[in-house]
Amino acid sequence: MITERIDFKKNSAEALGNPKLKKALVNFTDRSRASRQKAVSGVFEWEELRSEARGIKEEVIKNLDSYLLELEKSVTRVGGRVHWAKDAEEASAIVVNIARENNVRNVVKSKSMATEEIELNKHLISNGINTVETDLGEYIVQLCDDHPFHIITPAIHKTKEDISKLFSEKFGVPEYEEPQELTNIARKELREKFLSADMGISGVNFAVAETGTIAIVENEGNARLATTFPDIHVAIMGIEKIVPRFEQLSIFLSLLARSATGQKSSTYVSLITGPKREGESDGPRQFHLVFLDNGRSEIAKSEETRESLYCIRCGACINVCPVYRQVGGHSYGWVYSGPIGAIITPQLNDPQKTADLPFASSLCGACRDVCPVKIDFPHVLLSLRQKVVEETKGRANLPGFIEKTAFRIWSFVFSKPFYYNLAGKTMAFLQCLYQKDNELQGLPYPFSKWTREKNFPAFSRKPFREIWKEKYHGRNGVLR
Amino acid sequence: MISKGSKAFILQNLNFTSIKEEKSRKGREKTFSNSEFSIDQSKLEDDFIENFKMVSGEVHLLAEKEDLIEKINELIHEIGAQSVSFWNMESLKSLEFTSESDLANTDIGITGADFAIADTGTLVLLSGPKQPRLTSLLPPVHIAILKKETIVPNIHALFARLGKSYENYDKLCSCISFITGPSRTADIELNLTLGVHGPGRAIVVII
Repeated sequence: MITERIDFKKNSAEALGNPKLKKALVNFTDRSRASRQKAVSGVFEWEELRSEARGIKEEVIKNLDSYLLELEKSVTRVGGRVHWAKDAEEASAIVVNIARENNVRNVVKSKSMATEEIELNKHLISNGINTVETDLGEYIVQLCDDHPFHIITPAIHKTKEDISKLFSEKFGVPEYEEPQELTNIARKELREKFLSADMGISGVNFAVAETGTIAIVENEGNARLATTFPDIHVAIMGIEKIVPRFEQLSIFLSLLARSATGQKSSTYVSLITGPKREGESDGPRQFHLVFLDNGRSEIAKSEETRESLYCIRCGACINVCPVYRQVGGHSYGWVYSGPIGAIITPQLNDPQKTADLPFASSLCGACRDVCPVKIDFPHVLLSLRQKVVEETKGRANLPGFIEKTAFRIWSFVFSKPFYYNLAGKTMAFLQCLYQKDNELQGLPYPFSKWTREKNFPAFSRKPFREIWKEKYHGRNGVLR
Repeated sequence: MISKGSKAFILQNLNFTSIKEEKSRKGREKTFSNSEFSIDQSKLEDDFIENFKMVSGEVHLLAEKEDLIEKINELIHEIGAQSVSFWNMESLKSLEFTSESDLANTDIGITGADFAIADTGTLVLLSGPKQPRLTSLLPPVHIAILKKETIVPNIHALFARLGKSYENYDKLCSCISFITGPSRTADIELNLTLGVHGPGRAIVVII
């Protein structure tokens, strides 16, 4: 939960002042974009897949209540148990309870944004349950008590020097520089955790209402281990993750891997239907599925912003976002970053504390163009901006007042030729104080806000109207 | 903190009847390039091999299925494995090893593959009493034995095939694993490294 107001400008300024981070961000976003582009161009029916996926999601969210009931029935039929959580606190309490009832001491977790959202680790650990993140990136982030920087690659802000130092401190090994060596150390450390775990916790990429199947997509194999080795498997899903029919998974799986990492397929996809069956030697004996609402059912009600729930968490919008490319993941102040963070965070949290986020976008629409379910980000952002402005309407609001007055003056001046002319001349006269090579620098407040970042082009001494008059007056058929 | 009323609360919130539309369960029958007719099986095999190799997988193609045991022995020897664990498969009956049950300390896991997807280079393994999930996961090397007639063109065709083999999905197995190459991560500065949790080598023997 967000306790303090997210100050996007302040956070961004911190990120912008970090040259190492900037390099990592440019490298990362360039490469992700290129590999996605390559993977997508190999699928001639890409646009049809996107439309189809969006159509399915539209229908699912409109009928979410009946699909949730159907999914509950299906999961129960195959021997699993469903838990309904209206908010973050309740979801964590449910998981802690399951752990307590079964005397669980050690938990292994695979990557899940839903569990980040509810801060599950904190709750488990404070209840005396050892909890380890097993995705390599998440593990690194957990070891340095940090937050994920990106929903797909959480530790992209750490250099290999940072990581080798960290591992050396934590495990008393030499400072290896090679990523493969670092990976081998993590494998060894984490393998022991898997073998001693009594409970595995995972997220859910898709849940099939018809069969009660959950799909988990990953590259490392840690989710397979976490959902196979321990006796108990608890999966946590945002209620929007439903796909009605089993066969429809093929559409979403095709879209997800290519959009997320530019792979044709992720290394591992597990389709899990209930606990292990009679005669099977491995797999969990208990399967629990937690439905997490935490504000989602409110979003579903809003016609304007409902499509925020179509998201399949691929991160493509983040990788193409020119704002994210500059300011990075932590500037968004919560678990979801980039364009998806800008639309989801304000809707799942206190709108006043998150009021900066809908404005953290240039509305360029690159996110909408790559989104595998065609979320119209600019539309949703504008609608959220409108809400923020309406909230502040009743209260005294100086910036709002100044803006309004400025626009009133602007419209007056621009609609009267005499004043327009006068204003132009005045500007041309006044600017000599700040002019340098045809650009204006270091303007006084409030224009200093502009010139602090970049220079303003100088006003022409001779306005266009005069040039026009001189050149064409009485000629080329232009009458006086 | 855990309340019995949460289910009712969520369902109540979602019950915005004014926009309810008819469920289009049957309406969406659109299929994506899963035309199974006129598919050249040898082309599928080539595509699968190409794509599996592209994700750092290794492929051995056998001309005769009688060569399988010899090939497996050769691989075990090449890897220098002390212990092997394998699925209870007819084709491995004459292997001169006993299947190790302590998978965490086994050098090689050998499994079959129920299906494979050509255009992504993916193996599909169904779980069952004779087909444990961990064999393909815990040992550092995974060898899968694939019959070439089980290769399907793409993921849409695969789901269509699964749909056919499971009437109403009542008997759906507890876990279907898709495996596309060895375990990998790019979490350290986007450098690709293999074998982070699962096997670092994934080998397919096609018969």
